[in-house]
Amino acid sequence: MSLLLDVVNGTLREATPLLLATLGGVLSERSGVINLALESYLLAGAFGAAVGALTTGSLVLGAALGLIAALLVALVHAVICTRTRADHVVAGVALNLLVDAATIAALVSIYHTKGASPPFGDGLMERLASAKLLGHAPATWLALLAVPTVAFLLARTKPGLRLRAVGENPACAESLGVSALRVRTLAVLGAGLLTGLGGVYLAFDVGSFSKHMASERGYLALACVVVGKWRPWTAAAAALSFALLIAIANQLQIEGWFPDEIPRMLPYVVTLVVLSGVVGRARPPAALGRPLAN
Amino acid sequence: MRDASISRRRLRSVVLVLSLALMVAAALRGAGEAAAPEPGKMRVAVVLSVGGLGDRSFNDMAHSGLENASHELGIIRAYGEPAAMSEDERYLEFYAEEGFDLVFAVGFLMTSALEKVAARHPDTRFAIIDAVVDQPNVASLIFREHEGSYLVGALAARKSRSGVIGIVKGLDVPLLMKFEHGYRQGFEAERRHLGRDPGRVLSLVAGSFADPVRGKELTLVLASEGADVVYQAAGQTGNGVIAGAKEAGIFAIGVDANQNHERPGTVLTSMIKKVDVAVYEACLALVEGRFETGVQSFGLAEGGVGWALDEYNRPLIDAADEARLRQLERAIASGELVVEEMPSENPDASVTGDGE
Repeated sequence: MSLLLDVVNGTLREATPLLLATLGGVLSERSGVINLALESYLLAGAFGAAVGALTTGSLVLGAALGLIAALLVALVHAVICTRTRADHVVAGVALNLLVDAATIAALVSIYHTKGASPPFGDGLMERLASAKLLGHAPATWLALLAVPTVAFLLARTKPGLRLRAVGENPACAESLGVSALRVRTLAVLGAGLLTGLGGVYLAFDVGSFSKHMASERGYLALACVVVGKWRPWTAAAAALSFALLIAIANQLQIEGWFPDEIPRMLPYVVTLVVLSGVVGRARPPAALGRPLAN
Repeated sequence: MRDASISRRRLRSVVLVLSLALMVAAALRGAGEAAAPEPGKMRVAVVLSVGGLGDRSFNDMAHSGLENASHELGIIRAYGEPAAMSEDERYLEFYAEEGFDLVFAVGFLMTSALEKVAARHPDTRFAIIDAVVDQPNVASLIFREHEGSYLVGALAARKSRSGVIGIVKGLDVPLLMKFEHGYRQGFEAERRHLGRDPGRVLSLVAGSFADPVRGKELTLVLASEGADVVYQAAGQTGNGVIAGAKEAGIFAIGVDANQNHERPGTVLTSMIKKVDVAVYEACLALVEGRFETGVQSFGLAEGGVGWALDEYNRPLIDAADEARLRQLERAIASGELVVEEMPSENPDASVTGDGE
C-alpha cells in the first residue's frame, strides 16, 4: 500500500511539468505551429521563477516573473512562426539554443556564476512546503485541472473551433473572417503560459535554477503530443503513462536489476512506432508547420 | 492585424542582424582566450570539461587552482571552455600550438582527445585530471576518491538510525564507482565496528549531471525506502539531492567542493576532492623546474581528498564522531587501513583491517 502511494506521488511529481508542456504543445500544434520550443519555455519559466523569488522574497512574484519570462519567449516564437515564412522546426531549435545560452549569460550577470543560482533560503523553502495541498505543489493540481480545461476549450468553445480550423486550413478560416495570425499567436502564447508554469514548478521543486535544468522534458512533451495524436485527453494520458513508467522504474532501480535506460528511451520508441503508423494512423493537423500566406 | 506595423522586409533585416550578432558572439567564445607570452613567465592553460565553469565542482576548482597560481606564482594563465566534447581536441591543440608551457585537460572525458594531442606535441607538457594518459609528456593526476568516500560512509553509519543509506550518481561510470565503493566499505565497516548488522546501501543513477529535479525525485525514492543519509556524486543533479534530503528531513552528503553551507542542518558533510590543490601544485612544480610526468595519485595521505568539518555542520557532529573519523583518516593515510578502489570478485575481502 505504501509502495503504491509512493508510485502515485512520484508519478504526479514527474507528470507535472510534462503535462503542462504537453497541453501547451497540443494548443500550439492544433493551431498549426510545430512547437519544438517547449524546452525553452520551460527554461525561461524556471529561470524567471528562481530569480523572481530570490530577489523579491515572494513566491507569487517569482511565479509571476517565471510566467512573464516564458510568455516573452513564446511571443518571440509566435512572431517568428506567424509573421515570417521561417521553418517552424528550425525556429524552435534555434530558440532552445538561444534561451539556454541566455539563461547562462543572465546567471553570470546576476549571480556571477555559470552553473546555478543560489539556493532559496529557509524562509522561501518553508513557504513552498506550506503551499502544498495534499502533499503536492499547487502547480501539480493546476496541471491536472488544465487537462479538462484545454480539452473543453478545444472541443466545445468558439475560440477552440477557430484554433482547430486554423490548424487544418488557415485560408478557409480566413475566408470566414477568422484572423489566422491572431489565432496562432494566441495559441502559442497559451502554450507559453502552460509550459511556463511547468518551468516555475521545476525551479520551485528544487529551490534554485541551474543551467539546462529542463533536461529535455520539452522534447518528451512533444513526444507525448504525437503519441496522443494531437488530442488533449490522449496526449495527457501519454504524459501520465510516461510519468508512471519513470516512477516505477525509479522504484525498481533500487532493487538494482532494472536498467534505467529502458523507461527513459521508451517514450521515443513509442513515438516512432506511432509516427510509423503501426498503431493506427497518427494524423497531424493538416496545416501543421505551414506558414501563413502573407 | 494582417497589415501589421512590422513589414516582412524589416523583420528579415532584424533577423539577419540578430543572427550576425549571434555568430560574432559564438566566434568570440569559440577560440578560447590566448595570453601573450612574457619573458621569464610560464604560461599555463586549463581546458575545462563539459559542464564548464559554475559547476561548483571540479571545473570551478581547477579554475580556482589556476587563479591562485597566477596570483602567487606569477604565471600567465588562460582557460578554455569547450561547448561540447567534440571540441576538446581543438582546444588542447590550440594551446599547444600557442606554445603554452603546460596544458591541463580537466576530467576523464578528455582522455582520448589528450591522447591524440599529446602525441602530436611531444615537446609540450600536459596534465590530465581524473584519468591516466600513458605518454612521456603527460602527468596524470588522479584522486583516491574511495578513501574520502570511506570516511563519509563511516560517518553515515554513525548517523543513520535506519541502517539504510543511499547514493545518487550522475552516470554509471567507473570513476563514480570509486565513490560508491568507498562509501559502501566505510559504512559497512563502521556498522561492524559499532556491533550492528551490515545495513543496506542503495545506489541510484540519475542519467544526467544537469537535472536537479530528477536528483530530488531519486532522493525522495531513497527516503521512502528508509534511507536517512544520501551521498551525491552527480554535479548539478546533486543540488536536487540536497533539496530532496531537506524536504524528507534526512541528511545529504556533498561532493568535490565543500557544500556544507548550502543547506546547514541537512548537509552532514562533504567529501572534498582538492582539484585546485593538484592544479596549483603542478604549476608550482613547473615554476620550480621540477615538474614530473607520469601518474600522481592524491589520497588522504597527500591531502588530496578529505571530509569537510566547518561551522555549518559542526552542530551535527559530536566529539566521538570526529575522533573516530580522525582515527580512520590516520589509519588510511598511514596505509594501515586499505580501502579498495573497485569491487572485487570476492565481496568478503572488501576491507582489510578495521582501523583499530
